[in-house]
Amino acid sequence: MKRLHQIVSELLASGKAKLVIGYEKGTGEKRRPAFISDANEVERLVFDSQCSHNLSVYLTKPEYKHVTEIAVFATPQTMRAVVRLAGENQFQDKKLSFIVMDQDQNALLIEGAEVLANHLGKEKIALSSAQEELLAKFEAMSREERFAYWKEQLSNCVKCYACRAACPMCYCTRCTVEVNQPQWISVPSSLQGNFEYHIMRAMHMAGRCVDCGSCEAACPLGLPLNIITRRMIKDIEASLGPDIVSMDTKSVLNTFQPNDKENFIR
Amino acid sequence: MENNIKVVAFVCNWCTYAGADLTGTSRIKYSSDVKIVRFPCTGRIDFMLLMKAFAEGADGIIVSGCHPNDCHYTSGNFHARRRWIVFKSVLETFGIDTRRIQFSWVSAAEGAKWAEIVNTTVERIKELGPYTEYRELAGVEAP
Ligand code: SF4
Ligand code: SF4
Ligand code: FES
Repeated sequence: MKRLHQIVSELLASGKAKLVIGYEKGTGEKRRPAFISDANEVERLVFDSQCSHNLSVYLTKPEYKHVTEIAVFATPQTMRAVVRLAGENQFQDKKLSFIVMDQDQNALLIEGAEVLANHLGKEKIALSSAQEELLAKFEAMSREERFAYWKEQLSNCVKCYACRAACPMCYCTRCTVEVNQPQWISVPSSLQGNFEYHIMRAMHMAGRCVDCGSCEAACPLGLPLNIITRRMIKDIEASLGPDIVSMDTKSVLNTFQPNDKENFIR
Repeated sequence: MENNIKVVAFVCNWCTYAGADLTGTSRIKYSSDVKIVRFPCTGRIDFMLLMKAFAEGADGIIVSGCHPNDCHYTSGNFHARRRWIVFKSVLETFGIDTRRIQFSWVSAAEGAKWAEIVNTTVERIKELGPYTEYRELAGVEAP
């Protein structure tokens, strides 16, 4: 932690960061996001394997629009989101620094999203064994079984939109779910509205989702949202090519190839 | 077999709508179970419109526009094709019955193809019956 605190202190002292978004101890073994702009509070910060929140989600929030120099603690999931957000030109007026952990668990300072992109590994985000198991079970289901499965799951969804709030790639200031002329998504939680919401959320994430798992982790009802994003990424890769997180890949629905292949259009 | 079915067709103005017009002027008879909605381009056909069609009573949907390279706006149908590829995959995850959606390219000269697309789709939807399974979700409160 000493090295970590030293890096953060220097960032704050030099003015390279006016705000540091990191982690601190939460309840029990849990870690929670910490926002620090005072060098005297640096001691609060921790960065270890318990840290899981994708902190990049805060970078696009209106509350931090006015802060240009921000330093963020970045897990591999956070790095993927940052690079894709930078590719979507979300940080043009920002000067960002990142603190990552190297293989030996030492804190490392990286300045700028372009540099961060070079540090990004090619490996995919691993699922937990419980998630793998559920996904395999889901893949074996018939169409009718899948429909029944989501009927059951989505009847638990309270439409709290925590999955949306936690998603780093969900940054529109005006979301379709709040549009009421026309009303695309019903305001109260209803089963059909919940199907519509989750189908819409998936479509708006197509080719953009970085598979960070924040949505599923945020859901208070434990909905297996990972199934939706994982399957979509898999199908997109199968039909439209590899899903590479980099500064210059365009999201799949933002572009096209004249010879895109499908087998269902007559 | 269920006969009271509704098929709604979302078509682009420049090719399929003109093609459907040709079907009429060529006096080719085809199923009257289809209701046509005209759009400027397939690129304008938001996937949510398809969801709303199912919610509002459509048992089947046809989405059709200009052949690749023929879009009046150059690339609307290329974008639409990608959107449909992803949309179909997402719908399948949720167990939505994608046999009820027919995507096609029908040019202004393909009056006969339009009749054939409509007839085979209507036939298939009649076999599948009304899509009450999805409409019934509307009545269910959650959680
Ligand atoms: S949809 Fe979920 S997994 Fe994908 S980027 Fe958003 S929070 Fe991460
Ligand atoms: S976080 Fe869970 S309960 Fe809340 S809207 Fe998302 S899926 Fe529904
Ligand atoms: S105008 Fe027909 S598909 Fe674009």
